[in-house]
Amino acid sequence: MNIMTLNLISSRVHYHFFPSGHFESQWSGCMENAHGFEDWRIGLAELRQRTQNGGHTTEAIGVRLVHGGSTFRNPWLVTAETEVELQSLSAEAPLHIPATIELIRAIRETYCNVPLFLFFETSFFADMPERECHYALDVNSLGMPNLRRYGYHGLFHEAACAMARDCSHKQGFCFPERCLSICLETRPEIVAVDGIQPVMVSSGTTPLEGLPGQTTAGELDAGIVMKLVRKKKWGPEQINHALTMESGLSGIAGRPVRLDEVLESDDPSLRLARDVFRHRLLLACGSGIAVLGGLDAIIFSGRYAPSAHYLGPWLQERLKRAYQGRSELVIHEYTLSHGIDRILADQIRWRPILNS
Amino acid sequence: MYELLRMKNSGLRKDVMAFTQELIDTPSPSMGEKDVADKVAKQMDVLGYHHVYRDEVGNVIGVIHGYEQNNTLLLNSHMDTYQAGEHHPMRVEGNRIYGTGASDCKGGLASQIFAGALLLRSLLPLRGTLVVTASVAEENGAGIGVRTLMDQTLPEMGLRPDYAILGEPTNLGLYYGHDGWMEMDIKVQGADPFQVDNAARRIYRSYEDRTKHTSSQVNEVEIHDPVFPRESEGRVAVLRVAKRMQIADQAQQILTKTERDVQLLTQPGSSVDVSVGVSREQQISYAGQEMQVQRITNAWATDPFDPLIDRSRQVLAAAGSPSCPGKWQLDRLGMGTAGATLLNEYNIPTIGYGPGHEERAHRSDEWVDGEHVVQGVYGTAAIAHGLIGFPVCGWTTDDI
Repeated sequence: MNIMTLNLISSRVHYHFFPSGHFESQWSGCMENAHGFEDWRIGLAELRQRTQNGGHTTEAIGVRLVHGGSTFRNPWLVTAETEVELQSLSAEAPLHIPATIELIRAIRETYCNVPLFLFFETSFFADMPERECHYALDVNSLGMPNLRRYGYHGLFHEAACAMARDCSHKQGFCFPERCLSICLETRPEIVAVDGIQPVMVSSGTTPLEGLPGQTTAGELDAGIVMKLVRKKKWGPEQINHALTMESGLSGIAGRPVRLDEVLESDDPSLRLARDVFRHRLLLACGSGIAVLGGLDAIIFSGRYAPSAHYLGPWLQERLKRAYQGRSELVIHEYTLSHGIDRILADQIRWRPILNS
Repeated sequence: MYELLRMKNSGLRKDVMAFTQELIDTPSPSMGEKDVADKVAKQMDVLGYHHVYRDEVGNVIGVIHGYEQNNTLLLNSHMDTYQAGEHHPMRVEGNRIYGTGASDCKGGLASQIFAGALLLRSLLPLRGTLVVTASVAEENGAGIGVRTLMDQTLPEMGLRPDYAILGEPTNLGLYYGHDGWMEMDIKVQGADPFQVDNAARRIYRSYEDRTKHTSSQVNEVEIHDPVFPRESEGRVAVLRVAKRMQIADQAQQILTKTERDVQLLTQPGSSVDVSVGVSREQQISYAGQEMQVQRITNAWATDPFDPLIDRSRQVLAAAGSPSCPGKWQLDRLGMGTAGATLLNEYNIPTIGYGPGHEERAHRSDEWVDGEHVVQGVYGTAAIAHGLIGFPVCGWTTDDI
């Protein structure tokens, strides 16, 4: 099956083409300077032409979406009704969903008869235990009944856990029942997975909660927000900007930094950022292990997964120490090296599509 | 989010510049706005406004619907320009775009129209409705355009603005009011032409002295030469006086006091009658609508603690374009904005946010900085999103 994957980031459409029989994309690119439906339609028409010039026809298209709410609990085959269903979620992810709806329109117009599948980062978390999803808030009297915790790297976590199961089987190990999946992206995320079911996630109702990211504050005392309102007379936009664009590892370092730079560099100016990140990660691992009742494997994924080479041993040592020096404890470690495009293509190849 | 707005705004820059120049290049005296109105309506269509209307007096209304209908933001700029003499054709020098109405307020009009387009292109979902209006007949002091919008056009469309932003020149500051002014006709009438002329002369000199001895840079009062309309009986002199009005001033009180003052200026025992009334004019809009215009603009000031001002200030700070609240000085009588109508008559909290300088308005060398207009697009869109958009909390455009 010839597969095209499309991923919308910062208004740019990143595309990868996987001809039949190829697990890695054979060509890829990004639509620069494309501003909405009309530009995307033109860009997609060029893509279709390029595919045809190479002697291929696109047989399936996969698009990644960050948020599917409680509606989209599985990969989704786009139909005429899908747009309306997505629109109802716009308020929950206002920067992403309306833009993706436009992209979907452009795809449907350009590739009329090609099946279009949507893959949601939140689907993996749709059936998380209620105790984990629920905030200690009276969501009904607040008028926010949909307020709940999600994860936002579900596609990475799901693929990483599947890869770990596959590897352990090939290596003759037991099926890793209790896993910590750590996605090393610009907004890192950790999930405790029991079997195939996530039971704890560091992110919240938005991706802001959880581990500190490259520019995001991560979990913080809500009192800080109130102080910013009261003392600095800031509005929601300023607070959002400060917490999502000027905080995190870059905020600690006092300059823009990348997660892999912080984890791998021995630059003393990054020491505090590294210590804070590893400390928060260790605490989150502790929470996950407590929920799981033990640990069989740690799995890394995400664009900075190669940094697991530095982070993994450090984490193993701390976690083993927490087990009161039981050096016989075995924690398997796996790293998923695939990018999101390969994950989408694999989902189309192997994952049953259930519109329910 | 603001990165996204900035990026999309830079994509619009060329079109914004071209449209601003086109507007300035098109003459549009009060009641002669048709050509500009055609261009505005066409541009709104091209930019993808959901609905574009024209009402019976010639106002152009562009609507962008949100997901809900619980809030409506009105953006308003006038299409007409102050016409003291000939129309000064558009010319460009560097970033400066010269021409009649450049600052007041075709730069602001372009900014507001493209702010709607910027929100559409950014695909940022709106909760409420954005209504962008280009109104007629502001510079003649009539406010007919805005009154028709509020009394007739918008209600018929089922729209009731909760806030309003004027595109008048504020140098991209947040302005929340200004003094008002009133033009009065002092009518001196009597059987004896000498007594009438004498009384008119005394009144004229008295006002002329007041204008000469004012200590402020700002005009407080202004008098025009008397005119002597032909009447069937006796002699009549009409003197037109313009007077600045403060927030607390009531038009009727000023008329009464003026009448008392001018009666004292007539000679005791003379047989002239003096009456004072607000100046009125009969005008016909470009759409053929006849209307009587009262030459009065009330002072207005939105409460500086109104959430509209607070939220706008917060949003602009977050957007990296901090802006200080202030008020228009209106150093020359006869100037004004639609804020007086929107706030005083319709109780709609109103602010001004637009490119260009107030001091450059109504001058022969009027100009606006094109980059300011582009910046105005960004700032106006940011404010509009802050007021009627879905809040973007916890998300960024990239990374996820």
